[in-house]
Amino acid sequence: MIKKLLLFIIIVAAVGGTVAIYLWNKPHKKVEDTSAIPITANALCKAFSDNKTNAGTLYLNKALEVTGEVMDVNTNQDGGKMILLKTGDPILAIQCTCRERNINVGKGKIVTIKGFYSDFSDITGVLLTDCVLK
Amino acid sequence: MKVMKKNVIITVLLTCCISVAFGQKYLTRTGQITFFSSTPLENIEARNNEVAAIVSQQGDIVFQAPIKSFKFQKELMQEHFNEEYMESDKYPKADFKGKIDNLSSVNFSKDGNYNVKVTGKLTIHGVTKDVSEPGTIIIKGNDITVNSKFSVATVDYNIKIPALMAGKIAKSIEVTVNCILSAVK
Repeated sequence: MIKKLLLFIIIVAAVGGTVAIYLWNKPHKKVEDTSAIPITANALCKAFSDNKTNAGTLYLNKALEVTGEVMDVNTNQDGGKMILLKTGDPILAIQCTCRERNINVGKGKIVTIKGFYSDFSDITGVLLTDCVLK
Repeated sequence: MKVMKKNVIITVLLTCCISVAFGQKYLTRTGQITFFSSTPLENIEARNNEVAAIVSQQGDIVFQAPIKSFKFQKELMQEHFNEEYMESDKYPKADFKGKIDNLSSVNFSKDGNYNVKVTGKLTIHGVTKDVSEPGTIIIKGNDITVNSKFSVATVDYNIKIPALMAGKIAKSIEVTVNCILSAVK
């Protein structure tokens, strides 16, 4: 009986330990492994211009696949690349922070970028994070 | 189409009017805010490179930090931060709106380091508090760098830390702002 109890405790401890180690070392989510909503940069911006609350709810925790013209490519303070897509709005852009640093894309090029929706800002536009170029 | 063109013209005119009213403005979309929690059990650091900020020569300052853009070394920490502590689905951004108190001591047309005190309203986790913090503004050509380091008490912003995690997360979080803004042309 004691042997069975000890065996049970050891199995529970081993399973618990394995789960804990897995959770602790769980890799970051990759957008490539997530299905995304395809949309153009203009349509995405318009959705937020029309009703930012509804659009924010619709795209919350979703991956988006946005197609548009590159307005600019900036380097952030950590050396990462941030691609801005034109939207037809003079102020608001689609701001895509790329996961990889070695991005080679020029202004005026039509691109499709896949990333996780992060937030909408009245100052800058729609923010996508952990993006990859398709 | 005509309505859209009209809207674009109105927005451009409004932007011009705001620029005239508030003087030269500086903007960044890629400002940086980090936070650091230190306890004997664990140090936790997160970094956000997607902070939007505007500073005007009239002394107005606005910062917006999207919560989901804070990156942690561990995915599990990032999930807990978003889902349990900051509730980022409900409160997607933290922001600050305020003014430079000692604006007269900053010469935006002369390169240099200027000590400033900034006062305004800081909103985190849906809770808004009046704050007043010291910082520096470094002016170099058409760019300005805003630096500040201050502490945020989690209890002040109704951020609940479960008892099980209390020993691993500091009651007071150190926040570091480091944003390089460029003059808006």
